[in-house]
Amino acid sequence: MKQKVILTHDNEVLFEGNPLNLPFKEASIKEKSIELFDDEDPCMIHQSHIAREFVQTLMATFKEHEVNELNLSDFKDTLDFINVPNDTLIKLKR
Amino acid sequence: MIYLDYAATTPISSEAKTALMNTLDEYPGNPSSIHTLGIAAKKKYNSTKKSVARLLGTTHKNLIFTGSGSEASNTIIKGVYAHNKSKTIVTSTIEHAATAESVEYIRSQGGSVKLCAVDSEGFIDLKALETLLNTHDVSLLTLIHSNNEIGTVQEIEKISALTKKTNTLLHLDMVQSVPHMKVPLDHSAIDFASFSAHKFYGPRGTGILYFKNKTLFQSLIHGGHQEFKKRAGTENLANIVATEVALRETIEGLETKERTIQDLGNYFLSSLNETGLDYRLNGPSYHSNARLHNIINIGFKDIQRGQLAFELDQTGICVSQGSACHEDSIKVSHVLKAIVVSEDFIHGSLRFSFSHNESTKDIDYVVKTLERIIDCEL
Repeated sequence: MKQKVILTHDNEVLFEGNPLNLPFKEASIKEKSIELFDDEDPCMIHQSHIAREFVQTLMATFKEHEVNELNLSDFKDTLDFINVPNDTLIKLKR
Repeated sequence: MIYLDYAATTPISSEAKTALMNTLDEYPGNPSSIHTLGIAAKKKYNSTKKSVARLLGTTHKNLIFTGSGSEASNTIIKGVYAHNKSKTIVTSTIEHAATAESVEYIRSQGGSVKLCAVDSEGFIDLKALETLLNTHDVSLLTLIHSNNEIGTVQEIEKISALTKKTNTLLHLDMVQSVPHMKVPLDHSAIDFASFSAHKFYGPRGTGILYFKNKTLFQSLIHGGHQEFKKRAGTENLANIVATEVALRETIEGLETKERTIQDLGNYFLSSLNETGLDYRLNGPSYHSNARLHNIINIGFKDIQRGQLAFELDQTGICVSQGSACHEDSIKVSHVLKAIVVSEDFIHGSLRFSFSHNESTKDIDYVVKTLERIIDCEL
């Protein structure tokens, strides 16, 4: 992907890179797998598909609010699948 | 929705579906039962099998129905091995998993298996094959006739000249061949062949196994006298009847449908050329007659195929990533590795597989979408 994301918390960079490599919560992956495939133990291909679904949700959130930076605590309901502290800043970079 | 994954499966034709549903209603008996309903089912089964055999250019005495094309291939590979465990089985490096994993199983049981290399277009290295057949005591050569990922169609004449010379049995996985060509089952050198109904607009769950001589392989499934005692289990009559209908429909007007597919493929590739996207066609030249024209495997430079396929899916275009799960990783296609697709293209390779039903308008949408996604998103 052309986009990169940078996650910072308390001025510390937690993640920088391809959003597909973001740390996702195992519980969220399992929940999404059950929703999409009715499978609580997804294979790698299904896990990577789920990661793409999560990234799509993240990108849609940036687009919807027409911002390049957001605070995770403001989008806890929609972006809860990212495994970082609650008030992490997420910055979108091309 | 634009479905470009016909090599994975085809939708059942409406006539085949009707035949399936009607058979469920009209033939409730078990073909093995000796009463009115059983006898009616047996007669329907026999007449249907004769028709399938005629359509494939053989006789009903040389066919059995299986649960899938994979089961047909498993039956032959494991059945020939069980018949003579001391001999070697030879296959290629670009086989479907049904063959690749069957020979791996045989290897795990202590059997001897040798792999024959292919060239950069996926054609069997005939010199290497000749050496393998001459230097080992080979019982069976099992090959994919039309490759499911890159469309390469092997040269039966040249291969069978070698198997004849060495008295080697030849099994061809013809699962992808049937929808696109008249299969040469009357060829004297083909000993076994596998087919799958859902690749030619028939139902899932039905395969066909052709054999020249039923004494040369052992049964995989025991427990009944069905299918010459080569595949026990009550016959799936409704699926078999639907398979016959789909096969007949497929063969009718085959050449016209193939011309349409080839025109669409040419249009797709020339449209891609106009975009300036950096891509390569994996497999034989599209103008070659030794290829399936419905399968177009494209490698896009420096692109991740999974993301591209995902983005295409979001826009209503279904294509195949050609990936398989391997323990904790996603493996790059062994076929693309075998034909030595370079690193910068192999990870961006997708399989587009067409039917005769797409339009140039569909192709325009696909190409424009590809261009937009690759230029803007990836």
